[in-house]
Amino acid sequence: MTTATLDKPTLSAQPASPPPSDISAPRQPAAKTKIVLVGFDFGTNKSCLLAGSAGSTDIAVSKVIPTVVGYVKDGIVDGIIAGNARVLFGEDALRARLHVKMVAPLREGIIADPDVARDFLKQVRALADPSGTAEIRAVIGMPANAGETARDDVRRCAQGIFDRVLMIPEPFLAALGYREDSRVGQPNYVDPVTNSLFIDIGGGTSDLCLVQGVFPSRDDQVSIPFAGDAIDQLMQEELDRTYPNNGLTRLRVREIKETHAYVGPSRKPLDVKVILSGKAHQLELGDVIGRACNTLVDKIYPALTTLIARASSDSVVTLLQNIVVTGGGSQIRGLDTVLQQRLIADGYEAPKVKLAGHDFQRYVAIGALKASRAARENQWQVLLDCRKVSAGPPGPPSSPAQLAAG
Amino acid sequence: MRARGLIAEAERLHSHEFAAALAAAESEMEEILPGHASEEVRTLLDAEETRVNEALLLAEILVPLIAEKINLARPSTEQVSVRAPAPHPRASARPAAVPRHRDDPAPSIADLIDGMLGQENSAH
Repeated sequence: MTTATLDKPTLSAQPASPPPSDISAPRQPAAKTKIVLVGFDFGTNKSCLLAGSAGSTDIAVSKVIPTVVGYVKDGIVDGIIAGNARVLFGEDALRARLHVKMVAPLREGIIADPDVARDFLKQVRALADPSGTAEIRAVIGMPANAGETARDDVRRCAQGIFDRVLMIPEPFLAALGYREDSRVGQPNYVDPVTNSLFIDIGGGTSDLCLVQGVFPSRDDQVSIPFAGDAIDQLMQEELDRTYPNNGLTRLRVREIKETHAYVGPSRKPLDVKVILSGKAHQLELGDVIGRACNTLVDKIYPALTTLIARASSDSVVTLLQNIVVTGGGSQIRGLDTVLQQRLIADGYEAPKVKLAGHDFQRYVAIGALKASRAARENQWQVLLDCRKVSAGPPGPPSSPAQLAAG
Repeated sequence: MRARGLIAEAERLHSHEFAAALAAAESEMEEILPGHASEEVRTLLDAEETRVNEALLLAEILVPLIAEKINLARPSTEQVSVRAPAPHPRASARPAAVPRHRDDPAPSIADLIDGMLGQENSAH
């Protein structure tokens, strides 16, 4: 697992996106004759964008972007930042971390800084519709059971950027995305939308959702504010205790986790090479990583069994065969095995926990794009643009959720 | 939106975006017609409301007549059910999501979204 931006081969030619410095430029008031549908997974650490024209099944844009905005610091010499841009996004911001003030727009899955979130969404729009003239209809993934305030925040931030939106819980979208539409109806295929339990482990939240052929109720969903970021924090706290003055940034700790994360019995010794004060050191991090990651299992397992208990007796046997782990957390080694072993140990009938697979970062966005293509005209929420009344141009944030990077 | 059953969404738009847009319009008009902006905007809104109500009334009268004509014109014995719109948009509501038995075959995504919106409306 890396932090790299993944660009999947596109099915149709994709014009170059405008330079990031153009984000504050007003859009041309032109007749919106074209509709672009967007499936957007607005993740705490990584976001995924899929877009395509309405009426087509082609995916014109497919990107995984680190959810971070970098505001270039004052006094940077011309030419250091490509195009002398003032604002950078995602991978570009991470690469220029020395020269930018990096800000994460989300914390624990919800918007922490509206101005930064707006800047990020403008970039998403620019990627989805480089012409800037299309009507954008976006299905946006939200944490399970996100409150009305969190949803209103997203709506407000999207005003004037997207034209219509629909907000749908992420684990449900993951089930839609994971569904192989061509196999639905085949006798040997268990449709995940008909009977499954999805565990979507992201950066800010771990979301579990019972999906049984109807839209899940609030009781069918659980969102736990413990996920990748919380593991990073636990690791850093223990590293600071074990190796004081280690100088490792949160970003570096995350990279270590993404390379070595595991659950289950200790995999000690697990030597990790780090550079401290310019010198290479080998740190033994087997227990540090194992303890932090096993905490995740302790947090999500009770929610898992609670949701299993909600399934009817005639559906639970099939459900137990269809527990799917997705999101960045699905890359933690042994997670499927450990959850399955715990279920067996607790007497559950032949449970099977599986990992969503290599597209783990994209299933929510795939489901969102499917939903955008299937949504009826009257199901969209129309966003009126009255930002010009209530807000000025975007600028560097005043109260940022700072990333401990750089 | 209310006629389509999007009651909560209509209320939200009315109390947030629409109110803000209205305030902006009044503010801009105040510069052109000092002291009369509010009155002008109100006149405009009243005219629009009258227009919408008349259109709904017309539709209410015409739709059953059109449906009758279609039924007469169809060679099939199949009955066409066309429901006239509600007499007033506020009186209508989004149709409740049809409960689906858990053993039923694959539901359509649009139906699932209907279920979600139904839940949101009941929560409001």
